[in-house]
Amino acid sequence: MAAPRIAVVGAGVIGLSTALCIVETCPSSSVTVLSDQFSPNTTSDVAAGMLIPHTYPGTPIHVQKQWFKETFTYLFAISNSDEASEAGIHLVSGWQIFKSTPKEELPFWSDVVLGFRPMSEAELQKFPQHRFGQAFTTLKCDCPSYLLWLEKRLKATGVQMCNRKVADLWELHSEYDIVVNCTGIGAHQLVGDKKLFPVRGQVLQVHAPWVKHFIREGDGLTYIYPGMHKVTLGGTREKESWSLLPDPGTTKDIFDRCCSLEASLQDAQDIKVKVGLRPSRQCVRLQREVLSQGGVKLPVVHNYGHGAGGFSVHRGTAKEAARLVGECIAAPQGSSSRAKI
Amino acid sequence: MRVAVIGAGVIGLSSALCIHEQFQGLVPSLELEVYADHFTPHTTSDGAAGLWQPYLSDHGNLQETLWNKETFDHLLGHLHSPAAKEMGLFLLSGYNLFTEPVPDPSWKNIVLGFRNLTPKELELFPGYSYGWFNTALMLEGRNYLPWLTNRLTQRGVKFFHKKVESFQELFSQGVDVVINCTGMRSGELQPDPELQPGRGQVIKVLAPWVKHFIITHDVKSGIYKSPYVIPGSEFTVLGGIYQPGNWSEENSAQDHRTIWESCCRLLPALQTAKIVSEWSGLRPARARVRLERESVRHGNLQGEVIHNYGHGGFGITIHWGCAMAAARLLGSILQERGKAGSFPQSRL
Repeated sequence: MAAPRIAVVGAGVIGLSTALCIVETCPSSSVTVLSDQFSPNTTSDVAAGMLIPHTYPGTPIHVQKQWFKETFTYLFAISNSDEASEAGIHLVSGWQIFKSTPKEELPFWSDVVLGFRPMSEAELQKFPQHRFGQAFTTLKCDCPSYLLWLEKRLKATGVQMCNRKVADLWELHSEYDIVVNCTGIGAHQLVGDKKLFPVRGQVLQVHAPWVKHFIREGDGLTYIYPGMHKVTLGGTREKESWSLLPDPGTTKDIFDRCCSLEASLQDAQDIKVKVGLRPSRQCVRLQREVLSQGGVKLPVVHNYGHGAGGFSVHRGTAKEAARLVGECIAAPQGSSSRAKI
Repeated sequence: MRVAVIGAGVIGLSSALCIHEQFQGLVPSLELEVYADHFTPHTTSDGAAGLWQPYLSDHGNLQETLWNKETFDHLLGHLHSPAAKEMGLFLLSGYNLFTEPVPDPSWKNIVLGFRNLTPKELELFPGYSYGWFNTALMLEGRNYLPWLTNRLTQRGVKFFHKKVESFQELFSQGVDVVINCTGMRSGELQPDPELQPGRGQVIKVLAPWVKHFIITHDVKSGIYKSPYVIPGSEFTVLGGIYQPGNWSEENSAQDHRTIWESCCRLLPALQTAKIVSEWSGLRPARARVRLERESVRHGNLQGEVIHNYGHGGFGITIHWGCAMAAARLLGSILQERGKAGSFPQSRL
């Protein structure tokens, strides 16, 4: 393909970062991002954006580690540059605590984050109900800022952003040569992926600027993540729940659980409640597919199903998706390419 | 029994509170007063970022190390109380950076989680090849001083906005004991050539993405002469100025440039931080803290003075240990005068 026209469907962190990687690796292509939602209305906008990976049961650990490492390295460089505040990337230190010693004392990512070590007895005194903990320093994305920063970089390279609801990937076959499907939970409907299911997360975003450390319970249900302007308190992991409506009982429960870990949160102000549906899957669907109808072919690259770990692996999976797009570009063409004017 | 504290910075107010907490119940006739010409937010303590961290070396002064520890433990005990936020008290972790390996500090076991920096962490700070990471405490003057003032007011302690010209002035009014917490201007009440200003200047910025303190050290130049970044609950303080003997409280354009350029080199992200204000203050520097009793006689007036000044750049770090020591000295005076009978004196 000479100057491939590439459509990236989805404008969350996966769609935008994938579009950016494609622009970086396939400079002759023309990329358009199509989505019915842009920041601040994507699932990514609700996420706290902490770089603490989620483990995908269906993906080899060394692959997940590679994705995380690439993402961490990429964001580490931004956090240390003069773009840090615009991109919303910053370092944050804190503790992951357990009521009983976990089976796996060293998670696969312990040597990617900074300064990972077990908590001392003195440190654990802050958490009287917990017997074991890990202290480390990692990165956090202020998600709305990061998405805006990605959009800005994309527009600077000539990428078009298009507000459009795509009902069927095939509808794009006449305008585009390759489609990249980064629709997150939308893929359930869009490509009928029944292996994709929502895991509902409700969070509170509060004003508590004296909280400078993250605190996360090992089971991932209760967490306190201080961001640039707000602290995210969480959360819930409700499988198969599709509701985007905040639940008041859940709000109180989250607040109580977080206050029991950090008493000063009682004085938190300006509490906002958000809900997001983690697009969950046994493994991220990161693969090529060729759709065809009546002799016309449409190469598709899927990059969705990141569940709770989207921010942690986004750059790694975006690079892989861009590589797959490169394969599509290089692949021998059938009768299809000439038909598209 | 009238006790007058002169000075309403962190030292004066905490000494007053400590004294009142310990003796009010035991000495019903105790009348405690605070005299100052400057109150929060116009004291030296208000300009400090508020980070608990002693100097690198205690020069063998174990007494001061103990006072630092007492302060840290006292504050840690308050961390989970409902008062913490009002006090301006919270945990803060961060980095101390060096250009060469240095011995561990006297306070390594006082703070939490003290460790050396890993090579990857040092990549964040080009030019520095060695360092520490630890979790310490922040106690912001702009919150702590009003909190202390409220506690004292609730307890019925009286405040007087006036400049005291001499100890005798108070003794002639019937004050029995003066607690001298006058910091930098102690020399005006009693000359002290050991007390010198250690001028500092700081820039306050909005940089809410900064979640760690970063203190660099140039072992040859000395403390606070190397850039530091300390995030508070609202603003981040940039500093790195220590000028012994300089009495100027005017902001210097050259010092501004030094601070800004060196901090932006340290943390490039700061280039986009919005500057909110600038401030200069005089650290009341002395080789050792002056914390001792003195009987002062002038004509037929005699009174006891308890000196508690000369805390340099570590006033907040050491304040509670010193307040307790000042209270103990008052305890001896009370005992001598038969005012207190027998009462718990755990540390005499």
